[in-house]
Amino acid sequence: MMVSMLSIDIKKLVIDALKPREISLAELAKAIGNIECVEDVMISVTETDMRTETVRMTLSGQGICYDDVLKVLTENGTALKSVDEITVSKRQKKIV
Amino acid sequence: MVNIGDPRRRLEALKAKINKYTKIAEAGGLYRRYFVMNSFDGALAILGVIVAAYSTGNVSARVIINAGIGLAIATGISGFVGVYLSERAERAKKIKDIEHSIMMDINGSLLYRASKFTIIMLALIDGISPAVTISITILPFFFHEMLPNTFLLDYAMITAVLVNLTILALLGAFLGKISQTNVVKYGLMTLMIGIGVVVLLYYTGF
Repeated sequence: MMVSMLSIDIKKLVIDALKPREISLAELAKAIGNIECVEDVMISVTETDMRTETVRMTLSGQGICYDDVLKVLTENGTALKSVDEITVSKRQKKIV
Repeated sequence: MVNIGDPRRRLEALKAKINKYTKIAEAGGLYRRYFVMNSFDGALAILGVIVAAYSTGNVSARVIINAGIGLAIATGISGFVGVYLSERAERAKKIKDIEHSIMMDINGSLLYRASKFTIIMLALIDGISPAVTISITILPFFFHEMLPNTFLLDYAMITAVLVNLTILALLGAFLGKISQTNVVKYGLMTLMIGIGVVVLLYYTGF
């Protein structure tokens, strides 16, 4: 018997974060890109301070796991300031 | 079945991790600086012991070996503890400043781990580097102890001083290489300092 279930997945996430300058953009981008559910990562620096950099991250994927993203940010000493944009999509999942 | 590739991969992963931590903690230059500074300290200290002992005119290899081992242990402990405590304090302050700036606790984060790793590495470099130069310098006295009739004490003295001066010259050359200037000039400069110490102690000994 085939059962279908409704799933709502995050497709795009735009976040504002504050990171120490010691953590390079490449390292952070690679760490986030390493998350299974993230397909593309785009990071741009919007503000630079003596010790920190404010960055805007645009993540896309088929079903971004928000908790995993938060975990990687914390792991890299980066504080989430705000979630500025989010795109979710609804689809039917078939369960056998 | 034993997978032969595994240890190699693990070693590469460890190397990558060390490079990553070094880069994040901005410690590459510090490692080099601590290594040269403390190797130089150790080399000059043991050179002083050897030449001063020789100038008394009545010394045995065993005395120099014991003094050398004592010096290596003491400078090793002093270097390790001194750097561990001072770096820990400095880096704890830096972590606190960063936490204050980003308004988040970064305990356990990559930056925190890199910082802890760097403290240990710097302390080890500071403790081991003088001990290494001291140990290499006193090696000829061990040979003398093993072959007292073939390898005379005077030969051991001269060999030890020459080995030590070579270490000093190599340290200078290393500095020249780092600064991307004249390797020979830096090498000669540290060599002259060593020769200066030898001359000074030889003629002031009583």
